[in-house]
Amino acid sequence: MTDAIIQVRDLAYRYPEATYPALDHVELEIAAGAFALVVGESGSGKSTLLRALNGLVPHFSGGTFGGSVTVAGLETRAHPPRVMSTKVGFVFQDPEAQLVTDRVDDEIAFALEQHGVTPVVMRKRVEEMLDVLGIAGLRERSPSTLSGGERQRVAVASALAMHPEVLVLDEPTSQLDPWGAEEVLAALRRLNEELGLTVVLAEHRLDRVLGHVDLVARVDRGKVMAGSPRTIVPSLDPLTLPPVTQLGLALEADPVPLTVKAGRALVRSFTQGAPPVRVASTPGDAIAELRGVQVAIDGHEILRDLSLTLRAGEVVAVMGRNGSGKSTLLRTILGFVPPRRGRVIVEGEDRTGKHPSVHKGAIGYVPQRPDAALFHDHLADEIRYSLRLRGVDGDVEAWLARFGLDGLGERHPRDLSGGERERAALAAILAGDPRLLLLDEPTRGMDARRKHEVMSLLRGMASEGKAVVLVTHDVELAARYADRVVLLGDREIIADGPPREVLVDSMTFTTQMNLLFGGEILTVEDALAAISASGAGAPGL
Amino acid sequence: MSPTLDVRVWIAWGGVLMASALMIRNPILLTEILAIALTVRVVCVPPQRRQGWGWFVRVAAIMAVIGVVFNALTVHAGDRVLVTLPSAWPVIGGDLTGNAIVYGLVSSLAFFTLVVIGTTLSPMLRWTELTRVLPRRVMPLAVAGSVAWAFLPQLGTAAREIRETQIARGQTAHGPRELVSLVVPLLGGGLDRAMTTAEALEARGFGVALEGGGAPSQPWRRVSLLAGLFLLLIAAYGIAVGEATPWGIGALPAIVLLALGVRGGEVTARQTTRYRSHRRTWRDGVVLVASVIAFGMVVVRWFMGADAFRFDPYPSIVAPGVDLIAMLALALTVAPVLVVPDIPEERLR
Repeated sequence: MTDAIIQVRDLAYRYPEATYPALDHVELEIAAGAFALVVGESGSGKSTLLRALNGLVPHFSGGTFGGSVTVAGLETRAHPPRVMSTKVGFVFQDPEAQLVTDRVDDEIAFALEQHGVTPVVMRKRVEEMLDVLGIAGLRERSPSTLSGGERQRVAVASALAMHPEVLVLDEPTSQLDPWGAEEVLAALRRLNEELGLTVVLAEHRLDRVLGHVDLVARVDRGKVMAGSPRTIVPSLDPLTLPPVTQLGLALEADPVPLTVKAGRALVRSFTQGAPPVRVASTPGDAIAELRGVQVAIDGHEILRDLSLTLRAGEVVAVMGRNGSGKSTLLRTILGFVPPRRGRVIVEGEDRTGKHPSVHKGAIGYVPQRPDAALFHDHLADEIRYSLRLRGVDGDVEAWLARFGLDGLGERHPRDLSGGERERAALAAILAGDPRLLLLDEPTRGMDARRKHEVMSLLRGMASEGKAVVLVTHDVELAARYADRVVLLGDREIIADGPPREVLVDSMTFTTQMNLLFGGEILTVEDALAAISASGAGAPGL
Repeated sequence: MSPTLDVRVWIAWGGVLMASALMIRNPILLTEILAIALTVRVVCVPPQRRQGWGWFVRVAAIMAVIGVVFNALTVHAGDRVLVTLPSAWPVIGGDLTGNAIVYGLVSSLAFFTLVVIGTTLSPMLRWTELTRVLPRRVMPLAVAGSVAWAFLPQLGTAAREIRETQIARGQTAHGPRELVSLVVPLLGGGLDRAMTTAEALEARGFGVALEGGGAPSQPWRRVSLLAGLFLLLIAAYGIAVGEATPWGIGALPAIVLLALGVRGGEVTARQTTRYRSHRRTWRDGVVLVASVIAFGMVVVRWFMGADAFRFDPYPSIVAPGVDLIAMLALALTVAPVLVVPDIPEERLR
């Protein structure tokens, strides 16, 4: 390739004091104007590779660096990130941590001011970016008042203000709800297609981008394999692929569909049989109950006349837009938000308005960043702490083994890998066998493999007679693992029932398979069973 | 553009009121200053921006009450004895006097007034505007302040989440161990965020203007800074021990030397630019001139040794003096109420 704007040659990198390389002799070329997708499990080296493109690796991180990275003619080893910022715009995962001013247009102007761009040019660029990202209406707002999607678009605008030739984004949608993620990805597609900007994006949600990219770079334990989407897709973990692609692979379709649109053509060639029968689990006794609950925070009504029963053995997915009251619902059950009206009954006892300590640890609550609550030097001590607080004896090693953390009890939680740390946090917080588990977006930002691991654990706990309630935006996850979906909207429960009742006949709260097949089909397994039942004898079944 | 007035004008206005509140112990004048600050707060600061600052005012009110009680229980001087506690009681034993209560009230009034001025000023200042009017040399420090400021609400949210998680785990006690379970994760999360923010700043070219290309640092600038700091410390000591007037005058050259030192630093940095500068309007002029005149008159009266500025309820309580000139001068600082325009709704979201 001669028109490569990014050239990575024999790049080898090791973090300070690391025992293994984060990047291992990487060769990669990305053409000018390309939309490149970087995929791989958490901890595989994706972020390190992206940081090497603007010189944060090694200038910011230190470590041992070999080979070369050249972007738009500048070699990163010779040019620190602050100089590279004229060529490479960088957007990080956390929208909150990268915005530093108190007004949107000031945020966009920040890099320009640092580079001494004249005020006249600066004003023009700011206006330009506001228009390109569709955020002109937000110009006088404080970033702290924006939604996640709006903030990430501000971050993209800020990164683009210097007119870089390459835009690098490290999982920019992992902390966003589906609507915020779509806003950001749509903006990226437009920047790439209309303005010819080279985009390098690391992303777990492949369903929204796979059909639009020119190149996929798969990172696995520091090694990189790159090629067109169709050449790389078969080598990826099927769990990480969009459902429509999983279906295509199962049906040995050629070409493999990457988008729902392409999937429709495939589906037309198969006759659909009766939907598979799902055996509904029988829920046990009620563990918690909300009766006619009304909740207000700072005078704003968040929940209205809400009644809900949570039973042993159930996995309940609570869904709804941002601000629909999902997290407040969990905090109301816990007692952190006392209801204005209505009753909160836990384990048959009316605990309305009582201090959360009344539960005596009987409820396991996992916040959005569970690892942030760990404070012991050893993981085993963290688990012992929970057991002691809940007044139960337990086998720490056996508990660790259950979460796939055998032999890690003496490690510091912060020294664990990303996936281990998430499981460690769950293990620590849930130790002591609380009967009711409340989890606030437990899989946010996780790759597909980790989501599967966590959800399998939670399903296992439900089968032991616990009630599991999880707040999630992930429709595919709810369709696959939940027994029941509670949909919140306009401060009320607008739907409550099995996924096959709640997640169908919808344009937004439904799965790719339901968009393709309609009816009660929600997952790839459902679709394959239906095709199989039709007697069409699809290949590969 | 600053939403209402130039940020420097707001600082001048707040500085005049704060300096006056520090110089004055007369409860009549202090009450006037408090009334002015409250009026500006109610009229000029939109309710949306006042949210969050009310907490500081409430805490200040509690602290003020505690101050009065503390003074009443621990200072056993004055001629208005209300009750006598057994002298064997440590610290609080002895006469509890009306004089001590009055002194505590006046001190608390001064403290509360300062907090109200601060909470009136803060919602009207924007960090970004502030960083633009500061000398370029201190820009990194100002950006650090801006980042820290933006981090505060997130820190509060993180602390709440951690606390709730630990309570849900079954934590009920409130000892040092429980404090560790809050502080350690909070520090860990703060460090993670600090790293990301530092990376983000670096990736956006922060500090590129300070990198090479500038003139070498001037030795006279360092001497000027050191001399200014030294003189300021001596002046502060003099004021603290009660020799306010000569040392107050002595502080002026110290401030000049400090300003010279800081300004001189700008030549060593390559130029950053500023996205916009505030176009001063007649409103800025009115508030600035009113504030300067007010402060000038207060300072003149102070140097003239106006008795009305002082108030001492020991050994006997006497009515505070009335200084009409000082009252009229301070009244000028109500100018923002008359000239500051309403902030458009879209800027308040």
